[in-house]
Parts: sequence; structure tokens; C-alpha cells
Amino acid sequence: MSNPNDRDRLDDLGKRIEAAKEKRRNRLGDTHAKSASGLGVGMRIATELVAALGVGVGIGLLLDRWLGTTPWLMLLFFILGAAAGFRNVVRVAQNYDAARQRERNTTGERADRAHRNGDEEG
Amino acid sequence: MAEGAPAGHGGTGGLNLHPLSQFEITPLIPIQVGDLNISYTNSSLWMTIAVVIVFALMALPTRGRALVPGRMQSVAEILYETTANMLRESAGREGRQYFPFIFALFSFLLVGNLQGMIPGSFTFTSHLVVTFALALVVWGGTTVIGFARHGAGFLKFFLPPGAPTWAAPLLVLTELISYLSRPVSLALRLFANMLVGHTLLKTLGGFVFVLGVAGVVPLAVNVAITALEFLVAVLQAYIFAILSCIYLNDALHMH
Repeated sequence: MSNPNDRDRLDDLGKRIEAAKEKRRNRLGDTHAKSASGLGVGMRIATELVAALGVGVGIGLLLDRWLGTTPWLMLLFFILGAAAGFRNVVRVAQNYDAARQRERNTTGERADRAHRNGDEEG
Repeated sequence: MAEGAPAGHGGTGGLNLHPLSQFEITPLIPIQVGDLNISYTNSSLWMTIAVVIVFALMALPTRGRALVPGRMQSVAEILYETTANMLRESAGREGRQYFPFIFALFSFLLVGNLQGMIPGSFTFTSHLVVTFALALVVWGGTTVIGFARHGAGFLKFFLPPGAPTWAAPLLVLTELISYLSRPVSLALRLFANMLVGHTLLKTLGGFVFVLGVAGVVPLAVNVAITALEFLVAVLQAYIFAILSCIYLNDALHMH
């Protein structure tokens, strides 16, 4: 450490490590649905769809009871709930796609194999 | 929402199967406060056991703090690292301060789900009340974090960027329903998985005795499903936790 040359090199290394860490941090951070397996993704999509539809119909029924407009708001919110459900499904699919794309870019073969295994389980 | 514990009446005809009786809540120490029934039930008992197991898993093996970890210390470290990676990858650097909550959630659900694989045990995650309460905490918490971070700006979350103005009311309503459906889907997924798996195991288990020699067929299927159930137990705890991280990320970074 007494040698100033060593000190410089150490500082340089420190800076490089910081820069690499920063790059990694920026790359991560965004939504990243890890492709655990096809079973998980399938289950996720099914429940997202049902849940949004259920919440929509529930809101519609409550508003109907409150405002006495049976069954019109229920019908309206049924459609909105279905739309929200599809929005959820599209979002899950997009995340899954992005995650797989990233995985394939880093480790090409492994992603394919993981996907195949997922298909078998689903 | 609280169709928690339907009593067992699975038997049809001569069969005497009760595949749903395993989900029955029985008070162990009855406590009644006014109109409120806060008895210590078998569900509470298994939750207590889960907490004790998590504490033991974390406290005992790390006492030695060996540089080269032993078997138990490895398990504790793997659990820690899985959670840390999951949180960092989905919520970024800022998510780290919420690590204790996510870790508690993940380990509690993981142990709870795996406890259900012990014959004769009670699976507290197979009750919608339990999973919905946990999901509401996650959802409410992330919503509060979102508003605390972005103030009223968090409301922009409900309007997709670049949408035409005439479509805004419809889109906002759709996004709002989508947002409100988060705790429901989170709770429903875990609850349904555990309920279906355990019911299936018990039903097929009943067939083994009824069918006599041919009972080896459902027995073989049951063995396979047991293996699948172990996978589901781990996977569903993981999905619950990672979705919590993703919702946290939405609250921190708004997409």
C-alpha cells in the first residue's frame, strides 16, 4: 500500500467495480417475472383473468344495490372487468416474454430447456 | 369471501370419504370476547409452529456463524439469498429496505405450505381468509408506499401513457379494476392451489382402499401427485413473494 502506484491501481479497480455494479443495478430494477416454470405462469394467467372479472362484477353488483339500477351497472362492470382481466393477462404475457428474451440473451440454451420442462409440467 | 372451511361431506353412496374434513377449523382453546370469537384454533397452532420453525431455522444454525456452513446453515443461507435475489431483481436497489417483510412473508408461506405435506397436519394456507388477509397487507402496503413516494402523482399509474383523451375514462376504470383485482388474484391463487391439491390427494387416497387390488393405480397416481404437491408448495410460496416484489416495484418506480 505504501507504493503510490499500487494505490492508483487499487483506486482504478474500485472505480471499475462501482461502474460494473451501477450498470447491473440499472439493468435490473424493472419488472421481471422470473420464469419459474410453465405451471406457475399458467396458473397465474388463469387467476388473473378470473379475479379481474370477479372484482368487476362485484363492484357492479354493489353499485347496483346502492343506486338501485339493477342490472345495468353490473353488465357495464362485467365488460370492464373482462377488459381488465385481458389487460392483466397481456401484462403477464409481456413480462414473461421479456424475461425469457433476457434469459435467452444471457444463457441461450438453458432458457429453452427450462421452457420445455415447463411445458411438460403444465 | 369467507367460505373458509366447508365441513366434510364428500361421501357419496357407499363411499365414506371426507376429502374436505381436513380443512375443518376446530378451536383448541375457546376464547370469546363479546361477539368476537378469537379462539386459538388448529389453524393458529400450525401458524405458531411455522413461526417457531422459521425462527429456529434462522437462529440456531447461524449461532456458530461458520465460514464453511453446515447443513442447516446452508438451508438458512439459501433461503436468505433466494429472497434477496428475488427482491433485487424485481424491485431493484430501493426494494432492499423492505427485505424483512418479504423475507418474513416468503418463509412463513413456504413453511406453511410444506407443513401441509406432513400427513395429519393442517394447511393454514388452504383457507381463503388467511391468504386474503396476507394479500390485503401486501396490496395495502404497496399502495401506501406508492402514494407516500409519488404523492398524487401515483394516480398517473391508472392512465397508460399515450392514450387518447376520449378513451381515458374507460381506461382508468379498467386499470382501476385491474389494480383492485391484484389482492384477489394473489389470495385466490395460493388458496386454490393448496385446496385443490390436498383435496385431490385425500380423494385418491380414499379410492386406494375402496378399489382393493386395483387400488395400486390410484396409489401410484397419488405418489406422483405428492411429488407435484411438493413442487406446488414451494412454487406458490415463491410466486406469492415475487408478485409482492413486483407490486412493490410498481409502487416504487411506477412501471
